[in-house]
Amino acid sequence: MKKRLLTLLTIIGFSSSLLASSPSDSIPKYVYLAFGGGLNRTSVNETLNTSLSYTGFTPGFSVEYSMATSKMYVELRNVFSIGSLSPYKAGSNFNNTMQNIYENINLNALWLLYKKPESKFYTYAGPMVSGKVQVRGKNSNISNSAYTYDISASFGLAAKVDKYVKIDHIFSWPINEQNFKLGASISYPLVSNVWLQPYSGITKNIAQEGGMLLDLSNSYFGYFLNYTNIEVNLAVAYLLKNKNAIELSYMHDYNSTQPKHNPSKTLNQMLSLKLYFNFK
Amino acid sequence: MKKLIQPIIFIAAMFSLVSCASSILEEPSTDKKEVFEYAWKTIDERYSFFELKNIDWDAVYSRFEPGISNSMTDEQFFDSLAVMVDVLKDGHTGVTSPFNSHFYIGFFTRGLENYDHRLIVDNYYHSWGNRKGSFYHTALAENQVGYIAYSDFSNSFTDEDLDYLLTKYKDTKGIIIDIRNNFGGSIDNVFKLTKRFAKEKTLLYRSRTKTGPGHNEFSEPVETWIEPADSSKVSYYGKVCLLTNRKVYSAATMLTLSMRELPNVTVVGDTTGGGLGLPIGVELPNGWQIHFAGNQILGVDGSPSYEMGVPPDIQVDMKKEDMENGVDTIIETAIKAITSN
Repeated sequence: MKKRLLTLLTIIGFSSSLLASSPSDSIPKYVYLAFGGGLNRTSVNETLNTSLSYTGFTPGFSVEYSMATSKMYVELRNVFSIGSLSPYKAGSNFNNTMQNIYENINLNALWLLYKKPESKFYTYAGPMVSGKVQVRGKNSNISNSAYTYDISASFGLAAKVDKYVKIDHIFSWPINEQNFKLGASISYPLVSNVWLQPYSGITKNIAQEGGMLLDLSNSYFGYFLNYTNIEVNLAVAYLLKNKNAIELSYMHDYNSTQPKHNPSKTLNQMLSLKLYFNFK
Repeated sequence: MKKLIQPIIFIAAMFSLVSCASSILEEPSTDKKEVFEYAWKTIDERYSFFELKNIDWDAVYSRFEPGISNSMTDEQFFDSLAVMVDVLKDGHTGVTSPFNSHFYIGFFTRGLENYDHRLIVDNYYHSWGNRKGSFYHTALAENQVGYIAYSDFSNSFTDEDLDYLLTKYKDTKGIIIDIRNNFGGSIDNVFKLTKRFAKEKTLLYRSRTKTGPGHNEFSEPVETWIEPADSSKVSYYGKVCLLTNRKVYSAATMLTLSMRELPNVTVVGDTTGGGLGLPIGVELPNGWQIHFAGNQILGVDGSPSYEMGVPPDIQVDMKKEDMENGVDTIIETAIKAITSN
């Protein structure tokens, strides 16, 4: 195990000199494959089968492919978490739990809109498509309506800013030069299709042979007045000499459905550590 | 130093954003008035049989609401909710708390018991207990009739169990399926059983779900059909008598509603207990749960009235004197229906 860890650290260049090369003034170009893991704080406020809010920390994982050229930035990202949530601020009188599955797949194709090479500042914007799935099951004695879900497929806009920072001293103490990339991105759907459980929490075909808990015929067209999904990502990446990187990232994914009945709000806040492997 | 601040601010922002979750989270409430209001309103908007049962739910609110206060103990409050949901007279209705569970069981008191397990063991099984999966079975009337009892839909069975039984009794004049005292369970069993006796594709029932808070807001009815079992499984197209009583409830009532649509099936005994609204539920603000019927299963004729019970084709009540003589008149009627030409 120790050997494997050392090998991994060697691969990402962590054991080598931390003196990284300065990013050139030209636009950074790279192809990264990243793997991440961390904790996702999921919070749920739904109204279909509960008046309780649920929250909890669940393990989360991500896989990401990103590519930057001189003109654009393309990112395909998948985030997944699964685990158990508890009622918010509930006392010992509560033995309710919620099993939660969260899946977020995102494709952003962003064009370089603005650059300031002297301060290593780059701004991108462009379209995004996303698919998000959140499935919840409760242990309560609420029978056939114990399962709820919200699934969305969206087309919208995304924007991203990158800022490269070089640090060569702390206060007045000189240190070996360290290079960081600070990144922030936001995405917002313009149009979506949102699938939800029907009004009572049971599907219309539940009484049929092989009756399903999922009924994808129950959906609505989402736009800014009845569906909100703001996803913000913040990241601090430590750039290694071998062009790989280690990143501390934070994802803030707020989702609010407002169908005719049973609105719901969910928030996924995932703090994770990612390892970026450069293939360029 | 200025450059160092930027990453630090970024990292600090990440951690501080994690605390933003409270913006969508609401604390649970133990205020009994609030919990009562939520329970009453949820049932008002989602329960599916107000019209059929002619229940004035507003009057129920007026009757119970004044008695609710935070000075009540949890036990007293639980009892108040339990009595309130009992007004629905629905076995799929109840209240669950960490210290007690309540559900309505009065549905089977609308008629006689019409079942005596000891009588069957003594006089029909002759203490000979044959069991295959969840089925008890024996041959009756000098091997002219196969008798299969299935008393709990919560206990599943396999296709092999049915293959064995239908092969064993394939040369009989008919089969009795006794589901008396079967409170229900998984509706998958309805289809697994019914298709073994269906010679052709058959419409079993219709169903509709609530689509809004109005007492009569329902989806368009969806038809449920059954296909005959595939040829790899054993089927039985001879006479079948299904025995029922008032304790046949929920999925077992659904089986009765389904089997009666098959031309070779006769339902013998008493009206079932009903329970054709699939149960759904909600968590109350204090963490307790209530459950109640959330859809309607309609007969092929479109009527929701089978919620109150599916009537038999041949009504039989077990008389005390017959029982004292070791005679189950429901089984005897079924034997006669099968063996007579």
